[in-house]
Amino acid sequence: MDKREQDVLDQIRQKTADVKMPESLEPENIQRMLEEKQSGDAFRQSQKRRWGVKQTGILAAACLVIVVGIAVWNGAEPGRESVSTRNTKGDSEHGIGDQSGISSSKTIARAESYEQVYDYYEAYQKQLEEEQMAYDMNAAELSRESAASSSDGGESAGSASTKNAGEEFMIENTVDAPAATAEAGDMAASDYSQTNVRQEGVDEADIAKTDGRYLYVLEDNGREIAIVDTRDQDMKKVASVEVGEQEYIHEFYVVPDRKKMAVVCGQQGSGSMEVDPLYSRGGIGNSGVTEAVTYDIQDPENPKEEGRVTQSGEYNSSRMADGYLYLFSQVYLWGDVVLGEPRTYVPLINGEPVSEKNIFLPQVNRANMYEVITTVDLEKPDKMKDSKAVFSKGGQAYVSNRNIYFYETEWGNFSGCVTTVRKIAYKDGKLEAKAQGQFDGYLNDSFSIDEYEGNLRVVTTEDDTNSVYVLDEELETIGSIENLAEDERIYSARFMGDTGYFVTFRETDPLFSVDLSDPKNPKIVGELKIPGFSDYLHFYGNNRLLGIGMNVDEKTMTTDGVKITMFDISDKTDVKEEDTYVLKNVYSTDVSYDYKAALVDWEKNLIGFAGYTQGGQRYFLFEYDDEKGFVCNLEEDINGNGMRNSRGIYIEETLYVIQGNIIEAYSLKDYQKVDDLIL
Amino acid sequence: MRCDTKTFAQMYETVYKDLYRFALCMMRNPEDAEDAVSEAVVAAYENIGKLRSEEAFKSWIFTILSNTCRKKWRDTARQERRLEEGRVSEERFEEPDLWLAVDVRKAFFLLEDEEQTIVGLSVFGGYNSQEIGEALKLNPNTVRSKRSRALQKMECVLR
Repeated sequence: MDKREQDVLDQIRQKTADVKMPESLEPENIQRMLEEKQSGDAFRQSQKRRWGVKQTGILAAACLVIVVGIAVWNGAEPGRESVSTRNTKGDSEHGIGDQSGISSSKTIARAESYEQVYDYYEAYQKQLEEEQMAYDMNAAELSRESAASSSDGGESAGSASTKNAGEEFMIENTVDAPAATAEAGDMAASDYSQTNVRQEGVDEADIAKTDGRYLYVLEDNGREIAIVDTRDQDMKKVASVEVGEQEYIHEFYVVPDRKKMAVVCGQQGSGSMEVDPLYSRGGIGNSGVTEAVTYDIQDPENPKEEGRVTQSGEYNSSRMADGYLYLFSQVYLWGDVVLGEPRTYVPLINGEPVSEKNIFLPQVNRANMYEVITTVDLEKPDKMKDSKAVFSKGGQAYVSNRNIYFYETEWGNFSGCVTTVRKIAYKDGKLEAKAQGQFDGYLNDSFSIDEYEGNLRVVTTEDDTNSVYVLDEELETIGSIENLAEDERIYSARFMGDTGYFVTFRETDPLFSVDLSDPKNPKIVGELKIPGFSDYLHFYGNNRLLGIGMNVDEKTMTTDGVKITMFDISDKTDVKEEDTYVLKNVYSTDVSYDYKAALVDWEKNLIGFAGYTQGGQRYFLFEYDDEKGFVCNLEEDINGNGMRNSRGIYIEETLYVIQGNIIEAYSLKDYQKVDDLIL
Repeated sequence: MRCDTKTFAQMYETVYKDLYRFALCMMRNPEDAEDAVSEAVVAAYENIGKLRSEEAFKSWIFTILSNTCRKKWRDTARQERRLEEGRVSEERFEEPDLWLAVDVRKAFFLLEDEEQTIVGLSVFGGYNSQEIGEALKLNPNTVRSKRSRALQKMECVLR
């Protein structure tokens, strides 16, 4: 958490400090209340019920949780595990199978009518109520309920497999040889870094971008993108793009070859904020509005707005490919949903409800949210090229070079989970439903799911074991390895061609290599154990894999610093740890959960990221030397202070470290500071 | 662990103020907050046998309280509450005898349910994203980004 977030927490703490306590809650009164209750029948009954529950499995599972979860993150305080975690495990009687009702159809169903959509939402509500009744019947099972309720509500469904754009890790363009070549085309003209993306060839939005000369930086107020000329290492703010009072900018794209900038913004949908009246009605009215505004940046010092589109929902993520913007937003339904008035429960695109046939129904018969996917042609930025609404309970998208995979996890009540996936092909802005399928377990993040030669490969965690699955074009499982790394879970994963690598963790960090060359018969071919764990993996040239994660002290089982490791993967059956560098007293890095925070470029031999130390944030820049291993070339305090994560961007021989409204420039020749700018 | 009412009350004493503050922010009405805390206390005491150690008490009872508050929202027909909230809140803001700083209430009002829980657990429980993730069955990364977005919203109001 950065300082500013900390400040907000402190403020709340201060402002609630002198709240007057009700008399009834004073400890002596509570004690009396409990004593009175204890003598009552109700309590004795619930006692009986409690002892009637068989708990061996739960307790055993609890121990595992302590080892895995607590030892790593707060080794100093054993036993601070949470009730709900304990109770989510170990009870196999209520597995996912008996109540989930996942459709086995391989085709994505389209809604036939808005009434049908309404029925799904009603079914969702009904299930909530049933759970509620079950809950009331047995107060002693309170803690168990938390597992069940949080696993089903739209609030958190699917969230263990990540929810926000910034959380899907992965890949840059240095993944494999063809990728590197493709990138070289762009690089030839100019030498600058690009946003670290999940899938080579599919761009992603970010909070800072460059076109090789200008820096485009989202200012800390979230309403303005500063355009900064960097010529001669002398930064000057030359222009800016601003949004209205009720809007805020999430992220943006700069597309130098098309001379366009696309800005994704949001309008606050709840509370007292003013919103577009079209969007503020009924059950969709509280989910906010997402807007994409396209600018011509032929002359970056004079950007011109060319068009804008709006859609219901809070921004989730986006992609850019071949001049088309793919925009994902999430609409949660609650409140005033009225049958016969689609505008109260169907997402709007440019003010009009999505048509029935463009609503994709879920694989289970209930849903309470939509993933709205629209596409915008940057040449015609005032209308949508296509739009779909994927009806669901909350999920996440992985975008390959041809398909969008929307995946969501159905949680079992007490154990087990199944991830359903819907595949939607995209091409030149058109979206087409392709297939749907499912596999056991949940995905750690979008690194754990990967398309290659038409097949989909996933590494999943279910309860205390892990699996690898290969699905064909129809999303039928054709190959699998199950029961891997018992009692561990997946921390990171990465695929290159027909090989996959993934890290699990309990006490050591086994890096598994899996051979997928025969998709029907995947094989674990290597396992390397080293201390600590990597939660971000990045290919570094063709024979090396870089891991960024945490070092773990094997005696105390506490993390004691950020760790970077270089693996030699020239022989996938015999992966070796080539070098490890521990940044003592750097207690975390944003890269662990925000892959865009990583600057990794093996051709230029740069590894850059921000780390948190006692004294604040610092930026680190490494090179990797064949002989010496990691060499730290730069370690500098970051002087900016903002709500968002830091970014490192290079243009030719200059590194720009961006945080909040401060940009600091360093020479890549001698690593000395050459300039700074306050926006 | 085994525990009598006295031991329980001693453990409770170390956390009850934070529990109530947390409930206030979650429930937005002092009566409901009070009810939520006492319901959570009863549930915690009845289930004390499941608690492994005294150190775990705080996170344990916070999780129970958080669930109790969520349960209470459902009880009070969440939809209706949402609809009327604007009006009710306005009246509350006018009351001279403020039970919770207006801007804190407004700030919490801006948040989604889940964001409220996350912020509440951060402020009053002092938990990190991993612990909150375990309690709410969320990926810690999700917790971090949700928290960040929530605090961003709140900052505007608190200034």
